[in-house]
Amino acid sequence: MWLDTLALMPVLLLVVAGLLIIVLDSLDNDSPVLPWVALLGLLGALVLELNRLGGGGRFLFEGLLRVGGFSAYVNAVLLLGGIATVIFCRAYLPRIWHAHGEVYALVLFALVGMMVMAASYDLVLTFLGLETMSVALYVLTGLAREDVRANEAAMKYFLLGAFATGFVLYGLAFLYGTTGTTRLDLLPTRIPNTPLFWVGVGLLLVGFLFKIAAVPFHMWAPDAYQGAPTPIAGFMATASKAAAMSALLLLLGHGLGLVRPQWADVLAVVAALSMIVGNGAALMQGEVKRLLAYSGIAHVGYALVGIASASASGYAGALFYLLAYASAALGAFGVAALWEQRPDRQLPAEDLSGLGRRHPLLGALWVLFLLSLVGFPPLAGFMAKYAVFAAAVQAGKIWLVLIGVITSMISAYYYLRLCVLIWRPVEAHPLPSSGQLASGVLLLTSALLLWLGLWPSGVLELVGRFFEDSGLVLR
Amino acid sequence: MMPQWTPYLVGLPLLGFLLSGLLGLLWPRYRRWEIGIGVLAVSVVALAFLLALGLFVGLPQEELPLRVVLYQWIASGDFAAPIAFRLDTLSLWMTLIVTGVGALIHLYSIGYMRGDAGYWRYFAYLNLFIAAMLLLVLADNLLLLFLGWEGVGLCSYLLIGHWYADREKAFAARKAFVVNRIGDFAFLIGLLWLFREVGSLDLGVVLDRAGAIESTALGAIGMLLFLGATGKSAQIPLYVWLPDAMAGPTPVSALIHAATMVTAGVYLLARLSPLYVLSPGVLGLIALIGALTALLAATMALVQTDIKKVLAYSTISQLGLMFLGAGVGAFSAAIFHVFTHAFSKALLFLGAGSVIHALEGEQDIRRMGGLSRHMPLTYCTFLLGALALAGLPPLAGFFSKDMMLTAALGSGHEVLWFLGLVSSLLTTLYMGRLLVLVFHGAPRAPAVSRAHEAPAVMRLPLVGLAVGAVAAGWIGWPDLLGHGAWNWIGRWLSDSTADLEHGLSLGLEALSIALSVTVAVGGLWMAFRLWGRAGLEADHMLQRRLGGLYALWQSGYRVEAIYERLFVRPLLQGSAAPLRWSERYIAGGLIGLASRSAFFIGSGIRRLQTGLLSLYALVMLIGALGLLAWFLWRSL
Repeated sequence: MWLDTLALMPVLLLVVAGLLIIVLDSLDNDSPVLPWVALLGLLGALVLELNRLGGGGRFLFEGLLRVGGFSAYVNAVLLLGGIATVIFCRAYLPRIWHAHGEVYALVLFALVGMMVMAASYDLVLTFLGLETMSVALYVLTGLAREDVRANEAAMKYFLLGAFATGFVLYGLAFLYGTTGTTRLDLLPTRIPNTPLFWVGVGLLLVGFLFKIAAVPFHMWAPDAYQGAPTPIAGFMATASKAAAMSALLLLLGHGLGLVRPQWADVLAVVAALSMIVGNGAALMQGEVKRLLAYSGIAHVGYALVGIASASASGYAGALFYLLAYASAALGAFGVAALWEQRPDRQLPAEDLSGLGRRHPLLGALWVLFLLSLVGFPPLAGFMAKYAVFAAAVQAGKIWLVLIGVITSMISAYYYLRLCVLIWRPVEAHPLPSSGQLASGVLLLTSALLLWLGLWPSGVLELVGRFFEDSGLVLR
Repeated sequence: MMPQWTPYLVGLPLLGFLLSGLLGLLWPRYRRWEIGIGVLAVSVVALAFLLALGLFVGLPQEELPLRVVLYQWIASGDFAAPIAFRLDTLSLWMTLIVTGVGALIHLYSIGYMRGDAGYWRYFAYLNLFIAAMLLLVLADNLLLLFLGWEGVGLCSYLLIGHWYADREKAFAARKAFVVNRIGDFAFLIGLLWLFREVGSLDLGVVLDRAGAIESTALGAIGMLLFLGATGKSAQIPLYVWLPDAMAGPTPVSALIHAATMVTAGVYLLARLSPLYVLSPGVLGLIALIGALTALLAATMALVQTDIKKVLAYSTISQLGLMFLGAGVGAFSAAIFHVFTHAFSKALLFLGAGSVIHALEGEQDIRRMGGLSRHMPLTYCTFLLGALALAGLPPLAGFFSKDMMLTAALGSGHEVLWFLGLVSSLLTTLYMGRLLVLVFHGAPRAPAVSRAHEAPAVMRLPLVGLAVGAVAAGWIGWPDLLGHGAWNWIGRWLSDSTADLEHGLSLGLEALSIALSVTVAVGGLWMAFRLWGRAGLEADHMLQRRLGGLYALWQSGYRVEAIYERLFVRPLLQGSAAPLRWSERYIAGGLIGLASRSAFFIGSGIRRLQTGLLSLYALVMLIGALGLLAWFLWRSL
């Protein structure tokens, strides 16, 4: 028991750091030291997770959780997102007069929920993680209390989220009622082919698909991202999606791994819809954060192509995709956060004009992030798309790959437009906030994109080791 | 020296490119720090040269060829894309040429480009060129080779258009790019075909299995790859871009359009020589094209009035000789000529650059003359380069040219051998003419009297290259002497090339050499007599004597006009109607339909995205019902 608790150290570290932030915040309101406390906790957790990345997973608390391996990888992605978010918040929040200390605590608590989701082998625990994450995110979305748009965003997110939670709980009840367990490792042997069981699975899926903003459960995302503070929008687009996606992967790949044919096609349809709707809607967007929201919906579709392939290489591809997408999207949201300057916190695309001429480095990085999102070789986005598409071809889902390739060609239109825009010979304002640390994060993520694109085999092999050849059991 | 160092050969110049490029892009003050930029660019290439030298000295010939795998980019299933380099006698030799001559020309550029607004850009591209060229010669995989092939083409385009604000120069760059594209297209088709036949593009596999390819396919592949080579190496029918490429800065002409990039075609033939020797028909065609190019380009060189154009046509002609050599199966002799030609032609270009520099941009030889008094060092080195190129023994050009010509004679191509001999004669004539008109006689323009020697940083490379132009040939004495015992370069290169044996009797070889020497001495004597006495008047006299022929040479055999009428104009006119049609139906119709439907979906979604919460919930509910219906249907 004591050893098991010790193995949960990364999560506990975040809990402690979050509580510490609340205490410190009550002593010295909005102290500038708070983000550093958060960073310290995050970095410590990241080191611990990276340390057990290579080894196999280990069950804790009699099979309730499994740490290391798969969960270590996902947690590393989540923590990367957390670190970037804290650093961007530090540069961004003072500018919109909301440099509240509790933001950092909330980010850490949301991460705790996410990390639990990525490790949980019991659906009740998964549900707890999901709710911990969601409640923290609802609050963060509505951070700008006096702003109507922020209120609206938080309210919508909360109400629809509560709606989705209802689905999850119902699904859980049905699942438990038909199988007598909520444990993912016991589930494979107890699957009854009764309609009630599948109703439960369907209801459960609604909840997860809502959290990753897959079509048709995506409608909240653009409004929520637009109303939320920009770094928080980036956090929601990357970390929360990665967490829910990994929970989905655990449920489908592990719990329901033996009945793959039953769910693979429906996920393929959701993936196709997400790619079409996400990219199609992004074409029409003039506001950068809304555009990135739709782009995120499309990218969830691409990652789902990997899961819909229902094979070891497909799951591995999806995991790789999460990292590649998170690096590029964090960078893009980060640049948007640094550049945004309107009091209503909007960033129309035209505002980007002249960014590249004014700040060549920032402009070059922006182009790099968007090109990776397009899937331009030799960046990570290309490798990630290649990985999931290759798996889908092996699984015989050629039509899905065709849709994926065509929609990514369409996506090039709006991404490249944003790339070109910034080099217009227009006098642009200087960066509103100095963010040297933030620039460091941007450089780091861009290096990650290049590394994953040029030397992908290391990470690809790593994520491939998490799955048996049958694609069934996670290590 | 460990072979693991090989990737740094490409990596060092690439690093130089990235540093110069990024610093220049991001830090405007760096752009004016010319010393820093120049030293960085020169030192990465010089380091690469030292590295190549270390590999050359440190690796025993018996251990070659070596395969150095940098890393696997993609390895999925049967498909693997390794980044691997091949170290053998051929690639190592080419690497030495590229880095050695390249380093000297980089050094020269420091002085030549002084004060240019695009100084950092120039050196960044020049470094990138070296990296791409080394990738081309070192690649172990034809796809990787193609990457380098395209890379040098890109750098050539960028550097020809260095002064892109000048419309003429921008057009010249575009022409070079487009004409090369034709060759590259054929090259790519050839590669794909080869992949279909062999199932791999790794050099080791391709060369091993060359014999198993069916002969028609092999011939077609050989032809396609050769067409690619004619584009890059400026041979008939794709040579027209090279004279225009002289719009670039002169060191660029020396490096890219004389010493290295244009020899890529010869390198390709030598690299794939085991494949080419299996299709004698293709080889014969290559020899014919080479001989014709050599002859025609030499005649055109004789009537040019732009100092750089003379050298450009001369380059085309010399490349033709190399193709002749490769075509008769003397691949190692062709590479030997690449080596000696790199020295003499780079030297001539840099000398021309010094002259142009001294005359403040003047390139017309009719307004030069008498420069030897003002620029003694340039004159001496230029003289050595010209004599070496003209094939005067014992300077470098003689040995390699002789090796190719005796091979042509020995393999039974007497006509082609004769054509080669005639082009050699023409070479001595136009080199003599150029030398006399530029440096001898009385000055024909006031600027000449103000001319002065270039700074030391430009003089040093001239001396270095002159040493090469004199001595580079001494590593390959004719078989006549010691029965090939003194032909070191032949033994070194033939490890990698599949040279055809030719049994030429010693008597005939002696005759061939004697004729070569006679031609060289006699031609030079004629040139000095003709132009030395009459100066420019000799040109007019030739014009009167030769009449229509001279006019034909001046018009470049009307090739440009023919291309214009045969391809360019019909293409423009013929494509006007289809273009309108496709604008309307393909772009406006199909693509328009696709984009309209994408936008339609987009706007439909946008209309749905009203912001009404109840609607959002409704859509979710419909989605949930859809999911449930699906699962129920599947489970029933």
